[in-house]
Parts: sequence; C-alpha cells; structure tokens
Amino acid sequence: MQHAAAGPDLTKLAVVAPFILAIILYLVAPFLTTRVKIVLQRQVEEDAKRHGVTAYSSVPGYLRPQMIDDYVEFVADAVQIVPATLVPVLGAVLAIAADVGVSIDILISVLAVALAVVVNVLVLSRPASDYVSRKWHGYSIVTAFGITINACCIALILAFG
Amino acid sequence: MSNNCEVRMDSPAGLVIETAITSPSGSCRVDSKDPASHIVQIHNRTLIPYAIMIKSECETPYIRYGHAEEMADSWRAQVFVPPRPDTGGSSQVILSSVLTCTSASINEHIRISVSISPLDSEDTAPAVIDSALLLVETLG
Repeated sequence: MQHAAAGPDLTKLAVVAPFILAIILYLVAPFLTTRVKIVLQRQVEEDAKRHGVTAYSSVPGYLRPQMIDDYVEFVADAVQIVPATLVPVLGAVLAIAADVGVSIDILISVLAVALAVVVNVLVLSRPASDYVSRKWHGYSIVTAFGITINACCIALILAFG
Repeated sequence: MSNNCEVRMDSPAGLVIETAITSPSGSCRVDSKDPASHIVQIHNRTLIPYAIMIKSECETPYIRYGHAEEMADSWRAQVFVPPRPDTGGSSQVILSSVLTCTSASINEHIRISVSISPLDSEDTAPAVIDSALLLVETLG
C-alpha cells in the first residue's frame, strides 16, 4: 500500500488566509490613502478657483489644504479600527469550524477586541496632525496595530491550533 | 506640566508651546549668583509654518531678564516655526533668555504672552493669543 506524500496542512492554510489577506491590505493602505489625498487636493484646487481664491493666505490655518490632508488621513485610519477588528474575530470563528482549539479562538477574539478599544482611545484622543506625524516609514499606529494583531493570530493558530 | 513656572500655552492643534524656568538653584527659583533660564520650546507637528511672537514681562520688581550688568524687565522674540518634516515627526524651535534677580522674594511674577499666526496669513489679527503667569521665588 502506498502512502500519499505528506503535503502542506491545507486546513490551517485556509484558516490563516483571512489574516494574511488583512496584512496585505494594511501594507498597501498608505498608498491607497495617498491616492485619495491627491484626488481630494485636485478637487479643492478646482473649487478654490471657482470661488475666486487665488492664494491660501486668506484661508484660516485649520482649513488650509495641508490641514485637510491630515484630517483625511486621520479619518481614513480612525474609521477602520472597528471594522478591522472583525477580521481576527471572523478568522477565529472560521477556525472553530476547522477544529482549531476553542481556547485559541477565544484568546484571539478577546485580544483583538481589547487592543481595538485601546487603539481607538489612543487615536481619537490625539489631534489629526499629531497622529499623522507619528509614523514609521509611512505606516501609522492603526496600520501597525492591524498588522501586529493579524500576525499574532497567524502565529497562535500555527503554533497551537 | 504642574509646576507654577512650567506652562503649556494654548495653541492650534498639532502645535505645542511650552514655557519653563530652569535653574541650578532648584525648581522655580532664581539666584543672582547662578542665573536661571526662561525657556520656550515650540514643537510643530502640522504641515503649516507659523509665525509666533513672544512677549514676556516681569511684573514684580526683583526678577529681571539679562545679567546683573545689563538687566531688562521684558523679553521679546519673534520666531518662524517650519512645518513638520515630510518623513514625519515634528520641527522644533527652542528659545531662551537669562533670568536674574536683585533681591530675595517669594512671589515674583512673569507674564508671558504669545500670538500665533500661520505664516503668510493675510489676517492682521493673529489666529491665537494666549498669556500665562509664571510664579518664581528669587533668592537674592
């Protein structure tokens, strides 16, 4: 009787796939935000011309295009904290169906929700410019949180699932 | 900041202005033998450059700016603060002036006022004005 050659654990690969996809989305997020800011800048410039504004020296500081850029980046990150938490929780639910240990699933869900609450408070307590200025190689606090939590979920499932 | 001689001024979001009196003689103390420094630190985390006017006046008789040979009862400075670097972080400007005293006293006051405007603003009135009182003990 021939035994089939050992292959990759496709069940575990399927379980961690959502987390891998989430990490990829977080890695490309800065480029997506930059694209939106460029489009918005063009719209603001066109609207300014229509309103007869030729120089921004008459615009209050908090409404200048540079501040709008920061507001956009802040909002783009702040609104995705809660939805992004659903990915690890959903991954944990799928992991139950794939017979990964229930304790691992509960740990993942609790960790994701707890960290999301902390990050939400941290982000919303800061002014937009202050938050946007605190980046590492273009990646923000929210992006770092998202990549970290999903990477931890992958590690937990592969190690103990 | 909780000391009577350390204050954070009101400023637009992303711009932080902190003022403090530092001295080898101890917190909030000025000694004529070891002059203290009145320091203003400005951190700008926005993409807007600012023009900031600082006016600091000694409101009581025994605290003064400068050294014993040449003292003044006020200190004025105008500073241009660049926007934050493209890579993130903040741009910083630090100003300081020497403080000395002519006699011992426990309730000396310095009133510092700042007016802040975006650079190249067409408005003649500044965007933000704030003032604060610093309390100092002079040792003579």
